[in-house]
Amino acid sequence: MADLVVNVWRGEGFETFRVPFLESQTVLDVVTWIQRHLDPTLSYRFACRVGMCGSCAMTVNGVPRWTCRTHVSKVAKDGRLEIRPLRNMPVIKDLAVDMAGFFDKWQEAGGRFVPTRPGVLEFARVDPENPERRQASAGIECIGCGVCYSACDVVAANPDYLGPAALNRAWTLVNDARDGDRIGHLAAVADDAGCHACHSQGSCARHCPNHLNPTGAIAGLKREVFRALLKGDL
Amino acid sequence: MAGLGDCPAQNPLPPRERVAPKAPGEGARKDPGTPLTLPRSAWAPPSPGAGEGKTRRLELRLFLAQRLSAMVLAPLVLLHLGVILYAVRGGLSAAEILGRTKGSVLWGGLYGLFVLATAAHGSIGLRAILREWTRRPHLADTAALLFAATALVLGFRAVLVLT
Repeated sequence: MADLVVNVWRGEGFETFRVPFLESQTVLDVVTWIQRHLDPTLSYRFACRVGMCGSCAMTVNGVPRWTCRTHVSKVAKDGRLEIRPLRNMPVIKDLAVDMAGFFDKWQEAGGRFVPTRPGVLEFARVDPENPERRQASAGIECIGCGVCYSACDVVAANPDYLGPAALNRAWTLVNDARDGDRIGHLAAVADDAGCHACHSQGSCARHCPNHLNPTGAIAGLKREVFRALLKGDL
Repeated sequence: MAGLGDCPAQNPLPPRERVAPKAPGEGARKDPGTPLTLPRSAWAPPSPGAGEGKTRRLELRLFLAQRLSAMVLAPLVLLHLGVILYAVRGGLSAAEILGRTKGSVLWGGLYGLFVLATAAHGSIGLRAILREWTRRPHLADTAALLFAATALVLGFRAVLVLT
C-alpha cells in the first residue's frame, strides 16, 4: 500500500510528511514515527499509549480524538491525515497544548470531593445500583483528555465557560452520597459560565472517547439547580 | 488451619484487647452534626462569569423564572394552537369568537397568564442570547426590559379587546 500523506501542524502552517502505512497503525504511531525518523523537533504529548492517561488527544482530520486508540485505517481519507493540536487551548508547540486552563476550570467548577462530618466513623453504605451512584460511576470514567472541551462550540465562543469535563466532574460529586457539600457544588456551577451556558449541542458526548455523556451531566446539573432553587437551598 | 484472625506465632505484639462496640453517643467522638465545608472562596478562584451577591441572586432568580414560565407556557401554547385549529376549522366568525370570549373570566385569565409567561420567558431568553452574542450585559438588560414591556402592553391590549 502507498505511503500515508500526513499534514502536521507546526505552528506557522502544516508540514507534510510521508509515512509508511502499516497494519493496525494508530495515529499516535504515525506521529511517533515522524518524530523518530523524520523530524526529532516535532513536539507532542503522550504517556500510556493504551487510552488511560488522556494525554495524547489531537485533532485528526478535523475531529478531536485520542490518538493512541484511533486506527489510521478508520480515519485516513484517501491515505491522507491532517493532524492539528486540540482546539480551545493555547498551543505550546506543534501538537502540544497547554491544558492548565482546562484543569483550572475543574477547580472552578468545585470539582473536589468535600468530606462529610469528621465525627462519622461508619463506612458510607452505597448501593452501586442506585440511580445517583450509577450517574456518578459513569462520570468518573473521565480520563481528562480534553477532547470534549476541544469539541465544544460554547467553549470556543465563551472562554469563561467551564466546559463539559469540569461540569461532568461536578455532576459526579453532586451524585456522590459521601460528599458533604452538594449545594456548594451546585452553587459553583449555577451561573453564566457554568451549566447554564450549555447549548446542549452534544458535541462532547459525540466525541468523548470513553462514551461518556457530559451533555446529560450538564442537563442533570441544570435540573438539580432548578430543584435546589425551588427548595430555597441556593 | 488457623483463620486469618488468630495467628499468635507470627504476631510478636501482645494480643490487643478487643474493644466492644460502643453504644451511639457513649465515648464516641462528638458528632458536630454539621457538614465540614470550606467556603468556596477558600479553595477556588472566583468563576469569571459568576457575579457575586445580588447579581448572582438575580441570575438565579431569572433562571428559575425562565424554567417556571416554560412550564406554564407548554400547556398554554398547545391550548392556543388547539383554539386556533378549532376556530379555523369550525369556520367561526370574528363576531362568534368575540361572543364567546367577551366577559369570560376563564379565557381572560388563561390568555392573561399566557401574556405574562410569554413576556417573562421571551425577555429572559433574549437577554441570555444577547449577553452571549454581544458580551454587553447592560445592552442585554435594556433590550430585554423593552421586549418585556412591549410584549406586556401588546398582549394585555389584545386580552382586553377580546374579553
